[in-house]
Amino acid sequence: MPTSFVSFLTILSVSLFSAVPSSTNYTLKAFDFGNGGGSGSSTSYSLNGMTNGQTGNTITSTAYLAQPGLAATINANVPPAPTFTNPSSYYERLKLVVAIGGNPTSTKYAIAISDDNFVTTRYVRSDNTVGTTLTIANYQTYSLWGGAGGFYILGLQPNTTYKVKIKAINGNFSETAYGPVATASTVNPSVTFAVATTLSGTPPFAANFTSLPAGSVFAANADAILALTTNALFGGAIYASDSYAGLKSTAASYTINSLTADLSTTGSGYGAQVISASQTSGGPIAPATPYNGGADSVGALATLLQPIITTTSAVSGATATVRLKARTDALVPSTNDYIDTLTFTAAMVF
Amino acid sequence: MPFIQQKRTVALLLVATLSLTAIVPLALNRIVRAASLSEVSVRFDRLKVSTATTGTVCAKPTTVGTESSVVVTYPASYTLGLAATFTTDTTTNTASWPSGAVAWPGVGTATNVTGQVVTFASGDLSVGTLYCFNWINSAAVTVTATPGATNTGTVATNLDSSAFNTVSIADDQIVVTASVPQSFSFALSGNTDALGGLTTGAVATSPTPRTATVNTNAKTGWLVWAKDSSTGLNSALAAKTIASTTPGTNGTLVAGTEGYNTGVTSSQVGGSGTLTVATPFVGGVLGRGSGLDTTLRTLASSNGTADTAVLTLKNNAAIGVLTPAATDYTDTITVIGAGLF
Repeated sequence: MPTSFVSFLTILSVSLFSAVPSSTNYTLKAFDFGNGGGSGSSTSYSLNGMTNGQTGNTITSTAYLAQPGLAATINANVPPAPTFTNPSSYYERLKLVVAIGGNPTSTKYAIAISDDNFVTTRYVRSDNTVGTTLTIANYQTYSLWGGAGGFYILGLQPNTTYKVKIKAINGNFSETAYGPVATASTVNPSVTFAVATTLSGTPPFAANFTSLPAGSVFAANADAILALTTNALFGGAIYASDSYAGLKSTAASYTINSLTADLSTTGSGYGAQVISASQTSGGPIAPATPYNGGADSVGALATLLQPIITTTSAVSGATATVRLKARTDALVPSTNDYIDTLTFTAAMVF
Repeated sequence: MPFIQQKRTVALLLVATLSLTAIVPLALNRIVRAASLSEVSVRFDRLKVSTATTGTVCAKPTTVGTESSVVVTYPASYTLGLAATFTTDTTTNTASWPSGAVAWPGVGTATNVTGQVVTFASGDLSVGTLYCFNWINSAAVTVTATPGATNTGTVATNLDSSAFNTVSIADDQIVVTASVPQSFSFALSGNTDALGGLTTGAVATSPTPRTATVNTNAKTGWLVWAKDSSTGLNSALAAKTIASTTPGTNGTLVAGTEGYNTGVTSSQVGGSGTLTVATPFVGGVLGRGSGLDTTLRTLASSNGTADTAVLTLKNNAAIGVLTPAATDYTDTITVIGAGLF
């Protein structure tokens, strides 16, 4: 019997009854091994074994609780290094898949995280955010930590390398040490946005209605090409505005008003429509109302920014084509100085 | 874990805890950060390099508490104005804010600008609500001079903080131009005007007045002129001309007194122009108008575009007792028009 165990029983002796076997220093209450024990024998040998002892006799006093079995038989296995990744250029979350290391499904795991190599340790809470203290509520089963699909640790700092390590527990007095460390990094929030036209990839950008005789709908000789890539989790929008809410002639003191209408049934007007929107992955991007009409339906441009393309999630390789259309009637003054300036901007929700 | 080993571990932890007491505050100071805003967005209304811009700041708090300020750290190399230039509002173009956003309470002109850090006052915010405000003076922020996609900043309240990113590009504008071609139409309703038999007892006038109709997009307007071939009604058989009555002067013929003139009335369906009948040719009363001669005289004019501008031409004639009888009195009136583009 190990010395430590002798000492343990010595401490307990103050509250135990004398029994056999016993000495002046100790009393062994029972010999049973609990439900995991067993024995075998032959004419030459007798073997007693123990695989688990949790249902053996429990000894209590007002001050102590002694449970049966050897601690080593009920300790959880130390979890191996988890799978810790940034699968999609995230700036505020990282994906973690707990490695169970042969532990049963009832085993619970606590996850420590640090951005300074555990000089300071924080803990992943059950709501997947990070807290400063570890409480029993932060221990969760493999299943609750997302199982094989894992989960995202939320609320992380951008452009930061994090290390995580995990410990496991099966029950009282069975917690393991932390397992190996896994490392992953967030990136900075990002957005790339570009403006071009079908005629030119470099500024200055221009589009022209060469001639707008009355009674027909015409498209400008160049479409706007808008390119967007962002890792913004909540997506965002491309906005458009113009200088005059129409095509303005200084010489004629006249503006062909921008309007939301089907130009094929309108006397005079000017507007924009998104004729294509696509992406390599993510998103999707989509034309915003009223720029999503077909044929000759256009949305009004205004001096205040209006969303023209939207996405509700991160998107990569998105491209949208915006066409400008106009129509005049017989009363639109003739002049060659009609002009408008479109401004495009993009803003993401991180 | 054996009990003694547990006690030893506890003891070691106590020692470690005590020995770390002095350095833990330093470590915490280094890594303690505010909680993350669950959403943050900063829209720069212009993305072109070196361009002054207005914009919009939005954020959704996550931490329960009382906000008192919002601090926007603009990307490095963006040029910022003084605090007084960061005037704000929460009413302009709110329809373009992200879905669900509401006005940021308590925001006013910035109270401080230090480096890239701009501080605004803030009222208390509710967790889970997206708040926005606009900075409305472009003198406050100028986009960096360098195109790039690594323009990172932060939005922070005194409770939460998150990073954002924006882009600066060579040009964010497309100049759209257009030309509208000239159009002008002019039509006479007929080419004859038979006045019938003239008597001394009445002034004869066109039984079916001819009209001249103008449609044009001439921005400055248009003119219609007329002249005649004989400066009057001429009879070859009688070798007589009933002379035009004072070309260039408005007058009214009187029955029994020889005379001949043209009066004009007008109407217009639409257009920007104001149609004006030239004073000498103002008609509207039997026999009123001006005589024509062989020089083109302005009948009417307009100062803008015209949709169905109609001039009604009435030719009037009167004879006296000495006017020779003949059936071949005739005149040819030429009417033309032109737009002023």
